[in-house]
Amino acid sequence: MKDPKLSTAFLAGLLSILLGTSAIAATGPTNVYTGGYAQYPDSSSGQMTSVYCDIKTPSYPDTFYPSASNGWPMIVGTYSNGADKVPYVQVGWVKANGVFSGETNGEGVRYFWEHNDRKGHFYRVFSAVGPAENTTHGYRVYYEAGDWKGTVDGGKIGSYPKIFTSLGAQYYEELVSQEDVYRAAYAGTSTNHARFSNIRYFFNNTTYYSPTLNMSSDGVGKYDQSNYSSTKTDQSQSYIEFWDSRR
Amino acid sequence: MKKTSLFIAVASVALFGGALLINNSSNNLNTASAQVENVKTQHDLEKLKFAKTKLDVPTKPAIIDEKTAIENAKKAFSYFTKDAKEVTVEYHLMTNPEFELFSEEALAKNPKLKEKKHMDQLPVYIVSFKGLSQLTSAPAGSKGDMITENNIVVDAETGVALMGFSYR
Repeated sequence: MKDPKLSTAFLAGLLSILLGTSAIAATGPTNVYTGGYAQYPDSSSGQMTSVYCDIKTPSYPDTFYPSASNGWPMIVGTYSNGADKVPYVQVGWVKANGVFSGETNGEGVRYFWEHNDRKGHFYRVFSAVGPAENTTHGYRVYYEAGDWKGTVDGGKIGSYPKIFTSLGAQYYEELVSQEDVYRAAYAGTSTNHARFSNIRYFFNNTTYYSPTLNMSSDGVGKYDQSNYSSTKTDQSQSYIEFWDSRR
Repeated sequence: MKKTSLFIAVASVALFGGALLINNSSNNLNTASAQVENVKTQHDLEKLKFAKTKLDVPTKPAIIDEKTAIENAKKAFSYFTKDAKEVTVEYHLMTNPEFELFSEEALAKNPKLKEKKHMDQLPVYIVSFKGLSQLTSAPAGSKGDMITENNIVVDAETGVALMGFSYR
């Protein structure tokens, strides 16, 4: 503290960090993401009727109450009514605990299915079991005989009538919390990435393998799509990897 | 004698009429009983129907008690049950052909569930945790909705927490 410039800079930096952290805790986002999407502007050329991907779940991410760390494929409707009114149906895995991280290893890890038309038709199903660490499972949402269906490794998890126009496919890792969302971590570390492979969707009676996705990240979540290509014969070798930059 | 005969006649009519009334009341009770056979629940049966879930009236008492069901629900689903301001329990037969992701423990302890692979008139407790404030998932760029209730389904014969659902 003998150098006044250094001490001033140090204090200013510290204050900036503290204020920044405080701002995130008080008014920060509640849902943050790393992943990609494909979206059609309207239904003139058809609708999205199936999404699929395999997800490798690496070592379990830290979570705290109330927060959740998710990974999923999703079918969405239109964004034209506002971002917070986007209808969706998804299937995935989630880690959410009643305490910080897990009570025991694997506690709070489960599969889930969720439908929300944003007009009163919210319905969520969650299992008592979930993916083991470093295992890969297949997640699918599809339309059949008037209903959305969801499966994990072919096992049924949920169903709900199709009541919204389906225009997009999304593949994301997500953090959720109404408090400080960044106390939770994305699945995947710098040395053990989460992996989404066999990504595909079914639109207007055509299957698109490893479709072009608009990728985005909040900055904390990281992704690598250098091995993602629709031309690969073995689509299990076409993948996007994810991890948390803090882990 | 005439007075006695008249008394007997009046008494007989009264008894016969009373019996008829009792019989009618019994019929009414039967009707009421049939109505009681319909599922009494706080849940939105229409919403459950959308999710291919059906509730029916159990034909025999549960093997485990409600207290055990609540404890097991909390233990298996800590996040989904924490900070509930109210807990209610209902005992039903549940049918849901659209859910198959049961634990090995759940299948091993209930042969009927293992055979059917889904809940088919399965005796269960629905333990409802209310007064919650929990955010849902949402599409990228969007924001989750706040939900206030999670329901945990517990096998009423084995006590194993099977799955959960939320719709409000």
